[in-house]
Amino acid sequence: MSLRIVPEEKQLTDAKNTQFGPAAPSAPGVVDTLRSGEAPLSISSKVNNRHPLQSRIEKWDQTQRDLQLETYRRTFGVADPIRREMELNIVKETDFRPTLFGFSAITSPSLDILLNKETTIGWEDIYTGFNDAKPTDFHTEMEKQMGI
Amino acid sequence: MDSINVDVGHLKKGEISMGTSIMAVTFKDGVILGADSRTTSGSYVANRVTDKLTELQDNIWCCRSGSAADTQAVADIVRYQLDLFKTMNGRSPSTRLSASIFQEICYNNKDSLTAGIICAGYDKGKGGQVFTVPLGGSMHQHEYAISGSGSVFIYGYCKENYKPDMTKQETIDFMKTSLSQAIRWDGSSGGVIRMVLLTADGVERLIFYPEEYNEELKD
Repeated sequence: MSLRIVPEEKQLTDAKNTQFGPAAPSAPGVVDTLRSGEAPLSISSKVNNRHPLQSRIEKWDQTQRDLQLETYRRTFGVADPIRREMELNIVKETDFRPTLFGFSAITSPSLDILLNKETTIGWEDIYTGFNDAKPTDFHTEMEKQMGI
Repeated sequence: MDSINVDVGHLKKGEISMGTSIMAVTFKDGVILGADSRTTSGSYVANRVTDKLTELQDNIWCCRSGSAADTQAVADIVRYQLDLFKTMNGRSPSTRLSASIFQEICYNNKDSLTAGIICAGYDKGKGGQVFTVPLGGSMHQHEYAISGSGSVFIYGYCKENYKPDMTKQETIDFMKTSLSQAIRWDGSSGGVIRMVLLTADGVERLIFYPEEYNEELKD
């Protein structure tokens, strides 16, 4: 609801043990290392000793989008940003990325269109290692579809 | 980690500063904005002919002080919001509205910004109006306003010499003398004095070189 133009530099003052990754289904108190493929992480390394610009760069695109949506809210009414967010969430939940594409530049065409990025190429398309979305395997897809 | 310390006075390392003298004065026919023209990076003068008077709409302008990057970014966003308002509503925004948008942005982002703005405009209904939005993001309306690092030296002079409803030439002379004194005493202010007049006749830009405003350089 506010005209935030740059991301804030918030040092986290508390952290949950499952804050930085999805919880394992059978052991809900622990981050799921097998599915995420990362080593067991140290929470303090994620919370402390961050670069002063880290927060700003990570949250830049989201902050600019929020500013844009806030402008739409003031101009067109409260329904407009809600609808845009709803469409984005629907696409994020249901879009299917074949494992064949793996970590390539082809993420999700629908997502690119909604975010107005389908005609541009940025660094995130070349250095794809920072993509959070992992190519989903069959089991995760089924669980998502079944709602397990 | 129990409190947030906001060092609102401090520029980030290497950031370009607009240590400045800016002022805006209402008079009989409208409002005049004035500023010096020095931009510094430490003690190095990065630009000696800066234009610190920025147009937001035809009849609404602002004076910028603080970090050059921050004030440019905020002024761009405010200009965009005002253009959008004008397009969607079919009428020009008021001076109070543009100052209000400045205030909201400066307050909500006060941990990241170093921006002191004086927003002034002329419209037929209310005449000339001056709003000042200092560092923390508050908004104050005055008949005249001074701001920037050089303004501390001229508070007394301005208080004694300002009169409401002056003529155009009286106001120009008042502002020229005030800003020349601010430039004289403040190391971060200098260069030329720029002015923008907003009246019913539209916009007029004026410039005064050191030979014209500096007593010691005359004759």
